[in-house]
Amino acid sequence: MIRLIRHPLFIIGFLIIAGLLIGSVVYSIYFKPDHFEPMKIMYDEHKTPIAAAPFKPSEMPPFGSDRFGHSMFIKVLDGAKYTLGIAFSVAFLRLLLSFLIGVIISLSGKFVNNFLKQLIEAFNYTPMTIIVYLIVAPVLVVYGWNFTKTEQMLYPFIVLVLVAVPSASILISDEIKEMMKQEFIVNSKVLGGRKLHILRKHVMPFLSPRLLIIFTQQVIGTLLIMAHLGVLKVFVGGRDIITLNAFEGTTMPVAMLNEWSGMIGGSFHELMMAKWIILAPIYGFVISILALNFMIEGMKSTILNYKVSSAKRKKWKRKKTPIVTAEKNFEFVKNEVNKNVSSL
Amino acid sequence: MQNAFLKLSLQFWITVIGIVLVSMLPFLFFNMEGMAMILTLIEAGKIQDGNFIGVSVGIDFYRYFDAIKDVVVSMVHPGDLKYHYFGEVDKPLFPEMFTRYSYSLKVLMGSFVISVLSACLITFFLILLPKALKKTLRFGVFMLESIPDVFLVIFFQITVVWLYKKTGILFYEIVSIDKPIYFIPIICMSIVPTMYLIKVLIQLFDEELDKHYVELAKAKGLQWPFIVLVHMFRNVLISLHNHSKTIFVLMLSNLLMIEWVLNIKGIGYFLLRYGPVNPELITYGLILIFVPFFLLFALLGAISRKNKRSVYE
Repeated sequence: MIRLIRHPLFIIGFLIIAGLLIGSVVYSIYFKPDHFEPMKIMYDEHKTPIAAAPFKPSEMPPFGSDRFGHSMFIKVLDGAKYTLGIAFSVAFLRLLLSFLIGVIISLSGKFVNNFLKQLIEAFNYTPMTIIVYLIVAPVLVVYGWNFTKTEQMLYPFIVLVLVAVPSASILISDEIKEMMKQEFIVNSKVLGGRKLHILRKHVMPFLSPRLLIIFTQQVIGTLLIMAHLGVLKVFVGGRDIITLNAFEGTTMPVAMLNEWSGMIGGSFHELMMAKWIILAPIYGFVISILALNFMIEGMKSTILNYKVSSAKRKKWKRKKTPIVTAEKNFEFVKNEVNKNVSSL
Repeated sequence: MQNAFLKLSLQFWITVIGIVLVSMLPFLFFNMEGMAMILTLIEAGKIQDGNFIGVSVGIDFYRYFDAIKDVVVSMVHPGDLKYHYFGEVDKPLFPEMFTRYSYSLKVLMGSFVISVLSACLITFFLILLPKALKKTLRFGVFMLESIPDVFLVIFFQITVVWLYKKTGILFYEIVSIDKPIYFIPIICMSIVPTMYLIKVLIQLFDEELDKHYVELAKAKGLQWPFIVLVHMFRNVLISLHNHSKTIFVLMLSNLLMIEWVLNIKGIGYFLLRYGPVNPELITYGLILIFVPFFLLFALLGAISRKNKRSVYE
């Protein structure tokens, strides 16, 4: 664990993610977004108007503003806790479920195993995005009128959790099976260790760092699906419909929270007009995915190094122990031999 | 031989069953037919909206298996299939789906070939470079690989528009109406798989470096580029086959996003637009895309297995 904290790539990634989350929470506690009156027209010091919303990134650094004059940087910062929070909790639930199922699969027989694996192969030939979109779109897009807002927020969350469970549980059961082939586990079996005992005492210490890697990979996977859903105009964090012009009846769906995928989906038509409105949440996604990838890279290299170092430590111990006990035994044996000789 | 064929066909059928089970999942949760009826009523102008009709989410296995049975039966007569959407009457599926499908398949295959070739070429030059430069370039590949595919497409489009504004040269038609475009989607689609392939290839090369035959070849005084190109590349390409599935999924999800963002009317756009109302479309579409790639990978696997055997015997 200490090695992991020392790894530079891991530190960079962790600091970025932690900074985003802490900044977001601190912002929403101390500076409520409602306190700022959005600025629709920008004046210079002589009170002459120089620009109107949406402001370009050069006019309102660093990311510009949206159509209503809100700073995009602050919106992205505010949204970090929702997007990253959803991604982390989805990944955690996925890992929990798929760990339980993976253990059960790894303990079950060979036939069930092979058949399940083949069936779940279909998930490997189907992009996750299209499965999620297929199941979520009826609730959020096509038949949106039918469902309450809490349903619309909970439902995609549950689907996001469940959709990755089959392939992740196969992955974990494969890891466990690979571990079961190790020599020390065969030894433990010969000595009469039960399956659960072996799992708890021998497999878990090796599996838990790998689970951490799988968890981070699941977070990235969730973020990617959320980004895709944003482009497909599915709002993971729930949506509101605002009326632009009451007389003409023109309405437009808007994300309820400043959640990044909703921000992309809600203003995707801005791509050719005010592209910074789209680019700001995209920067958010890209930076957090990069940071998580850094963390994975750090974890991978430390876990690989960990094996070598533990082997080295064992060698060192083995060398030291015999020297201490050798002398006494030697003397004891010597006396014995003398007695034997004298009796003869 | 016969055994391998039997195994492959079993794998094929189980995967097809899996695709049907997965893509029919909306029927498990919703009363899709009832919802479609409400939609047709709204289209006909008989009701304004469905607010007063309560449709809820619930798990119903009978509905699910009924829907699966219907889909399997409907595949026998592909000419009769129809689809519908808001404000559009039922249209026959097949001639239209097939033109879109053949277009997307061309794009997919083209970008697959291009990304494999360019990844091999780039890795070959990367291996020959000095160590420090190699390390920085590897880091660059790692950075590029972790940018999500959608955003590469969006950046790509923004850059093209920016270039058009600056120089007046339009690199492609932003909105394609009827003339199919090939160059831009193929280039755009091959970026992500190429980066992934380079990463995998470099890993495989690193594993290969420790093997005895490389040392022997070096000791014999063979030139380094010759060893890499002739001796190591063959073995690496054989193990590359294990990653084919990941590449396929990467490319497929890339295709969906590119067609959606660039507004190209291929099969990905078709599935995303009409899929939520007609989940059967997704079943047909996924199976249609899956078949040629499964055959291709089976062929590649057979070739690589044959080569492997000849290496060890």
